[in-house]
Amino acid sequence: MNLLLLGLFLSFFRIGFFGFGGGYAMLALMEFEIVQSHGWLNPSEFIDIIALAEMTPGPVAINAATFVGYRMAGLGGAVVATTGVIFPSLLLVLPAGWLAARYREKKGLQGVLDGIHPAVISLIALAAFVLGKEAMLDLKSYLISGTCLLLLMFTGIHPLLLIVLAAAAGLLFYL
Amino acid sequence: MKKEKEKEDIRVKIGEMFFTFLKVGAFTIGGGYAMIPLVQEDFIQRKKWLTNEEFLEILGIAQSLPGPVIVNFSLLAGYRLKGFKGGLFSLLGAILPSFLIIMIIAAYLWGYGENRAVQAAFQGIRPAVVALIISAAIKLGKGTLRQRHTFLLFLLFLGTLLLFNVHPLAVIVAGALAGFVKPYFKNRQGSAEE
Repeated sequence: MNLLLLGLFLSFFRIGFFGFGGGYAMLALMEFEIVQSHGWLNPSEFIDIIALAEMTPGPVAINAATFVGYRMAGLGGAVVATTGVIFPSLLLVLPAGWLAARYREKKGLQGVLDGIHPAVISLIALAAFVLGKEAMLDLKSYLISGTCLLLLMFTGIHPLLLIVLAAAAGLLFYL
Repeated sequence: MKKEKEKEDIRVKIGEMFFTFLKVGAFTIGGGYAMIPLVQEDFIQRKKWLTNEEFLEILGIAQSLPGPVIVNFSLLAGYRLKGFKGGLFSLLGAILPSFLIIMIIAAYLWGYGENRAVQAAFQGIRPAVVALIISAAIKLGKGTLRQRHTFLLFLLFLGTLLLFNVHPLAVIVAGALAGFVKPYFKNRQGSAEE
């Protein structure tokens, strides 16, 4: 039990510590820790958590930490996992804020941040590939995904409305 | 005189900041980024706690650091206005609503496994989630992948990730290194041309 709590804390600490780019960019890392390394969730449960995070308030990393922690070890697990994911920010944010204010103009730091950008976007694309493998099982799912992408790119549709529509499409196609 | 007024403002701030982030945390659906415009409105337009420049500077730092953006942002903004305690309470306000809501769902509502209608709905939702992620990549890429070298780096990283199953951290480190050494190459080229 205590080992499980420690494992939860360390995993979510790593997610927080190495999760550059926030939100979707952290998904690949979360998938690696939660699904691949520990098998705490299976791949479709993991996608459902992301959907849940889209439908409920708050950042997806916090939602996933709370959910996985609770499922694995009850209230204590939820607290430990959520603390794990925010702990790196507590450690880093203040010194980093000070450093950034001091070295903002220096080219080295700006270059590093510029180099991290394409890496972050490649991680988001990776998450789409990894989760797509699990979500796209037939032609209908490609149809849903394609329509959603067009709506997202060309209308200002709210993600919540998009998910409600997709749920309706799911009922229509699969029930 | 001005100092005294500031002090008075500061006395209400921790509680007010907590409730501002609590409200934003409870009512913004769609991830951490969706929360930013609401904080912007409250902090800049209504309460005038931060100037626009300060807000953008804090947001820039929050986005550059690892971890959820709203976690970093609430800590930094709270710290800027009222020290470490301010940062801590802002953070608590921002994450408490999602923590409680997810707890309730995990405890009481997650027994859907057997329900066929819920399963069908989620089968439709999963492809939509993939579309959301793709659109996030496209929207972010539009800004930063315009330059040829960043686009090449992106292709290289994505190819490596897909083909070799490397740890996600590897491309972050590689990107940071590439960004760090690039100015030196540029300088050398520049001096060679002269």
